[in-house]
Amino acid sequence: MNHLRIRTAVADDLGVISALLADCGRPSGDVVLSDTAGESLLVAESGAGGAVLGCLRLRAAIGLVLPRYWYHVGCTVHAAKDLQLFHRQRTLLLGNNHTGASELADVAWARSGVPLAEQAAVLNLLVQTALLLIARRREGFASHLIVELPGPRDAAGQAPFWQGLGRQFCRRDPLLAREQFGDAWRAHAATLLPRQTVYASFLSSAAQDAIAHVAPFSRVLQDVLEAAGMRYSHHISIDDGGPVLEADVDTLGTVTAGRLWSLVQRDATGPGMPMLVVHGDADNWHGVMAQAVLHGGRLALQPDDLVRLGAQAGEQVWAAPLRSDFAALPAGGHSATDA
Amino acid sequence: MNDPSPSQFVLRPCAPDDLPAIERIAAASTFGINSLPPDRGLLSARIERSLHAFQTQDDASGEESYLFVLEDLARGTVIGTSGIAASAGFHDRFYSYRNEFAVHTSEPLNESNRIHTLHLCHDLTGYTLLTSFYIEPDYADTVAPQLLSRGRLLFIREFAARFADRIAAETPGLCDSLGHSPFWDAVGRRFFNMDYPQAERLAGGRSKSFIAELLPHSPIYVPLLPEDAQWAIGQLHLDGELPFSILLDEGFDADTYIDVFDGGPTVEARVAMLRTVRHTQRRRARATSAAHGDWYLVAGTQREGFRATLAQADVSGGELMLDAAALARLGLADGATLRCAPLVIDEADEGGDCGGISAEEGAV
Repeated sequence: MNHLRIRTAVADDLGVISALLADCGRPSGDVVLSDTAGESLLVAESGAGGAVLGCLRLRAAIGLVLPRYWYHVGCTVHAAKDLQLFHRQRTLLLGNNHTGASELADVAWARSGVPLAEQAAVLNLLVQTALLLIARRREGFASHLIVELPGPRDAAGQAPFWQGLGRQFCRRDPLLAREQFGDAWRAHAATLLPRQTVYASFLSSAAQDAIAHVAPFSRVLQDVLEAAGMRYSHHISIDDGGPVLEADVDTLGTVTAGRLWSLVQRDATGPGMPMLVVHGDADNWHGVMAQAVLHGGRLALQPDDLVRLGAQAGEQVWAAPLRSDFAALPAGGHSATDA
Repeated sequence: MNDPSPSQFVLRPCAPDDLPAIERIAAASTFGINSLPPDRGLLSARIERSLHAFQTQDDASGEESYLFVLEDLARGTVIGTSGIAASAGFHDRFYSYRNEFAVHTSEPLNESNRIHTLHLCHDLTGYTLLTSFYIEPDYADTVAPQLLSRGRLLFIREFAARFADRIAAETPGLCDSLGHSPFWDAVGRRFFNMDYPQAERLAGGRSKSFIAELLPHSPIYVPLLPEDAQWAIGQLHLDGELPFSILLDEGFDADTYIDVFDGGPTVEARVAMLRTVRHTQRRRARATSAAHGDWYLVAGTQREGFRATLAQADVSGGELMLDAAALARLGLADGATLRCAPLVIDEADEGGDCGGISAEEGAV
């Protein structure tokens, strides 16, 4: 996996992306490269021109044209001390709390026959690249970032959460509606859903169990996102009940550690520091993981890495430590504000 | 049992000597919120409170609770009970679920649904509340239930200052002989994890609002309830059909509120709009040697020692002509002031005065 590369998707990738999305239970019809300004669709490939192994869409601000909906998962306590009654109840309240947030969307990756560690590597590189792109153009993104994780579904693709709640208010088959309207179907369905607080205990036990639970295949994605600093903060998707992971962008290590560096070439020998390096412009990003040497405000890469990155010595790139060892970042480079 | 004569029934305030009969009724009545508690001490206290309510010379405070018994004079036995709480939820709140409907529409999905929700509310707090209706099954098909239920309306009209201008009545919802209610099982049980009878025992006779406060205060979306619970909303227990039908005939509305525990309908109305109240008259009694005329609900106008009965009477002459036996059943003499209303109210006469004389025009 050392030759993994992230790049901006092109039209030729759409077929593969659609297949990946379908395999990950995401809406896969009519995939587009970008449907709003400030949006980037990234793919992970196994080296230049290699197979597309994953994708991720970075959205700058969501819900500003078509409303987006989530349930807030709350808690209310019904207690009567002298009756020795104490019941903690989960509540669901439909809302648009994340309107305007930035989003990592359409995360899909090759799973069949791929070891979990390799899946995690692909996802990690996609997520970290997206965060570095946010750092590069910080003013273009919101202060809040979210990711919706897929909730549990049965073999037929039906979500127990929807069967227990949404279906009681919306007769349309969610799978057919999703094929017809794409992800927008949820906004259309939300107008049919309860607007007042719903006590989760009124739902079927299967629906209750699905609240904020991630589909088993997506646990690797959850791990990657949590390692990147994102957390569940009591919001779930309205269709499958999957958790929404959230973060204040400026607390994420990759964002705060992202710096602008001048590239230099270094010898192929000698140890380096694992860095995520991004080069390019809005329509043509490339990102790679490389062993870099940092010195005097310069980032030195081996010749092979420069080729994978499509960059030359003297050019400027954005880079951040790939792992969470941000303290190891030496002085030098320029912050997003400097840039 | 032979068909009883309408004139053999008297509605009167309960008395301490009625305790055994009321205990018997409490044991036989349907479990639920309208029942009398099957507990001698509680029943005795209830009788005491009622006696005080009928006797007190103090101004009404709203906490008065009146309990009537219906006596079959031919058998010399109490055959039913009915009650009035002057102010529902006095010193506390009276909880109901209010039926509401909202239409949710999605144009892109070409779908529109009418969503039924239940809202916990205190709307009926302070209403006068009709309670504790029970009639022995042998008398269910006679006119006795009319006297037992509607006699209370004559009392309320006569002593209107002691009651609210709006009135409500709870009727038992669906439940089995053990008190298992599909509505409670779907709603209350989720917050108590116990049967309603058990919850009521645990509450130890405290105000039922104590229980209601533990229920969810946000609306309940009916589509999320199991089918049997949805079906139970607004449905009557078999034993509630008779008193319910009498109240519906009076003009009570049964569509808006339900009981928070068993989902039975809680009916409500403006007192002034009830048929018996609209057709009641206050007249001076004139004793006759023989009964003739239409059947009337007839009641005295004294609070302490209140009596109501059924009698044939003639109101066409400005006085209430009825036989001396009827006056005797009321414990009154010729010339006494009475309040009356037709037993059968002519549909064609709806909204008008009775016999061309309005209720108060006929006052003595």
